[in-house]
Amino acid sequence: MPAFGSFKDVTIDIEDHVAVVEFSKPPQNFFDVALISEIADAFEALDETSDCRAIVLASPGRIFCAGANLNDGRDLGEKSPGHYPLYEQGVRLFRTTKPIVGAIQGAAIGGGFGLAMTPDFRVACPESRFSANFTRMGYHPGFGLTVTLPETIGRKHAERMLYNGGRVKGEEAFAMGLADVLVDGPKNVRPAAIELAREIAQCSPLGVVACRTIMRDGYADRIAAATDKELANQNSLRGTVDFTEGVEAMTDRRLPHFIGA
Amino acid sequence: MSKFGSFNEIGVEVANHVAIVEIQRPPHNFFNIPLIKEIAEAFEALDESDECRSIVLAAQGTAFCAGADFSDPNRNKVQSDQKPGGNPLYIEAVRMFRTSKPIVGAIQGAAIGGGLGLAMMPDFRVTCPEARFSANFTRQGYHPGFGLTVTLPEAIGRKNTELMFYTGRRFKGEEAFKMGLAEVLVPREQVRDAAVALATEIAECSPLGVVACRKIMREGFADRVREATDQELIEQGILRETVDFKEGTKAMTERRVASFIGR
Amino acid sequence: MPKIGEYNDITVNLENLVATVEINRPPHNFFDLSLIQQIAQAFESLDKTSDCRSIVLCAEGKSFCAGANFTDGRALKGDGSEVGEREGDDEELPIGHLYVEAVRLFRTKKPIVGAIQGAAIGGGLGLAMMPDFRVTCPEARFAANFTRLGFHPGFGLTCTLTEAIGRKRAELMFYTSRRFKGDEAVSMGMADVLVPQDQVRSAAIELATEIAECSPLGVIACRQIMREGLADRVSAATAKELAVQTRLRDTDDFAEGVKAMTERRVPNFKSA
Repeated sequence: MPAFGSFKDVTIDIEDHVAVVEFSKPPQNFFDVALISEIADAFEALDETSDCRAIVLASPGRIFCAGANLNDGRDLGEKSPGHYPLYEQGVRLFRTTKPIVGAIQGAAIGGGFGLAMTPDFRVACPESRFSANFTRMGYHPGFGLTVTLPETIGRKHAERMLYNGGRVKGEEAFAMGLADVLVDGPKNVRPAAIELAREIAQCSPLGVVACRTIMRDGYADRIAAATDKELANQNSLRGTVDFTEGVEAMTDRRLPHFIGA
Repeated sequence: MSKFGSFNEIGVEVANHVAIVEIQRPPHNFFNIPLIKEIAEAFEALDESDECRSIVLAAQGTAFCAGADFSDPNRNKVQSDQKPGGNPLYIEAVRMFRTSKPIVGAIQGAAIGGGLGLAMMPDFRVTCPEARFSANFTRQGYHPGFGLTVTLPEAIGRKNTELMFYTGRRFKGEEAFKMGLAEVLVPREQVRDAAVALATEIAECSPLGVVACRKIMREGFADRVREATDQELIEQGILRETVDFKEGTKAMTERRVASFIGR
Repeated sequence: MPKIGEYNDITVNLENLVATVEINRPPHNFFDLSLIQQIAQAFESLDKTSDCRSIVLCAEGKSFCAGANFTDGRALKGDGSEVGEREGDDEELPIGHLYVEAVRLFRTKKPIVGAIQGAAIGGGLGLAMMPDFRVTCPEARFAANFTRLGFHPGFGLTCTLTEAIGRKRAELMFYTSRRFKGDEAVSMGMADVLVPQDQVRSAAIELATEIAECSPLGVIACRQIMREGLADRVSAATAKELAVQTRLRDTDDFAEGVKAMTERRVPNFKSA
């Protein structure tokens, strides 16, 4: 609906006070700064209209979001803490006021996992995959995951996922609170997300927004502070031999051989 | 009548170091300022007595506490005195969070809205499948109160709290137990006995150790609750002036989904 | 298995980037100042070698760690002899020094997996809650039974247990002194992996290996962010716990609690 300005890779559809924000970069929905920025623009525009009381964040295809593609040299912007466009745009996603339900129908990998943690709630299916594969690649978690993950599933589970680059499938995700609703099959994910968003939309919008502001007090700031630290670590790791090896191993589909340097 | 004070709304009895404080406004036990005040007074009196090492907070009738008493003549006082920290209801409520002995809630029935706030005040909760837990404020055009923006997340985590607040959903006893809203699930007729059993288990441990430990564990808790009620009160004040609040209250009485307009 | 370092009460081995630090005071592995110092020493040495990327803390014998090595509530000195006449009513328990050493365990860099093959009781639970993760078995027992003894939780448990299982469950454990089996511990989040008893150590090594396969610099940097402030919080917690423990050790209720435990009966407390 072009009422919100024209987006390249994002569409917005509003019905019954629920806005479905769909981002699409087929086939694997890798993101770049522009895409994150568009999603943030969409959220901010929806903040301004009383036609929308709750948001569903979704994507088409088998994969929710494969992350930031580090291989093809895609420009993620200049990289210094507080001045990293990707994370600056990412933090915007946490500053808007209406509740968001994520429809995580497939894999959410690395930065894509970070994006999957921007909604308040997540709907998943057995085919969903949450993968924090940073340390398997000689890298470091980003996109605020060092805050969003423990605050959602507790520090124990978060540490385990982040230290061993774990992949968690839909059922396990639901069991640990990473997903709030579990449905059968990817086809049911978006409808279930819309259903939860509708349930929220039936409640008084002023009450919900006021309450959400209290509940998330300081959250976006904690995430902003976290992305600074994550970025500092990522910067220092990007120069290491282990990082080069990690990326190569991932491309060659073999186990990496790290040396600690 | 009780050796711990003279009460109209509650009963207080102690046996085997366990005090039972029973809300006596059946069947729904709607709360008002006198009720909360009496519970706070009872807790403070029990703090001073070595006869009591732990407390069970229970209720007569079908509901634990189904919400605020809208017919309370003092309710106008609640509504008109909106100065933060100056709300009579919340002043009394915070007193309950400042006492020193562990409390087990026997949640045998519905705990709705502010009644959920009262149910979340004890350290632990025993419940049954028939109980209902609901923070239905936003269904009514209103905002959570009674310190729930602190007590709920500290018990069940922020995610589940947000789910409860934003959907206003009613959770049955089993779901509540799974979410961590209650620590024990038993058949309805066993709720009070099970609460007393847990309180007794606590009472068998050294009172000095338990009280000292509880003080460390709950450090700052009562202050966080007080700050929360200050904030909640401000939001509630704002929302009470809205068209949506009128519509929400009306819809609740008429048992239908409200038609909000965002104003 | 290549052994490193020379210690009295622990054995340290290093193989395939995973170090095992084994407590050798079977069957019950009671701890004291000296044991904690040795473990801290081992962890700090392992921090310095890139041959180690993760650590398994385990114990020989029946229990993981069944508690502190004292008989009547007064901590023993490092050499095992009993503390003599107290110098004053307010003298801080010698266990205070132990807590200072215990905080060293929270300051090292590499992830630790606890192999909890048996009982972790009282201060032993405090030691068990120090690792990042825990592997356990149905036969293990977890209890914070301080208040049953007329005493008060220590070893930073008011911080570590809360952060692991949430305040509600921690309070339940502290106020009831209840014992939980290994499978219950996993349900509560007190332990992360449940396996048969004879597989506890190998499963702990397996988890430590999984971590060791990831990039060490990334893991260490990430762990630093995740555990930021933890050691200081533990330190602050032990200070508060110690103050209460010092006050309570002089009470009749404490004497009665210890007596009742030895005589296997319900204690008769008087709030004094």
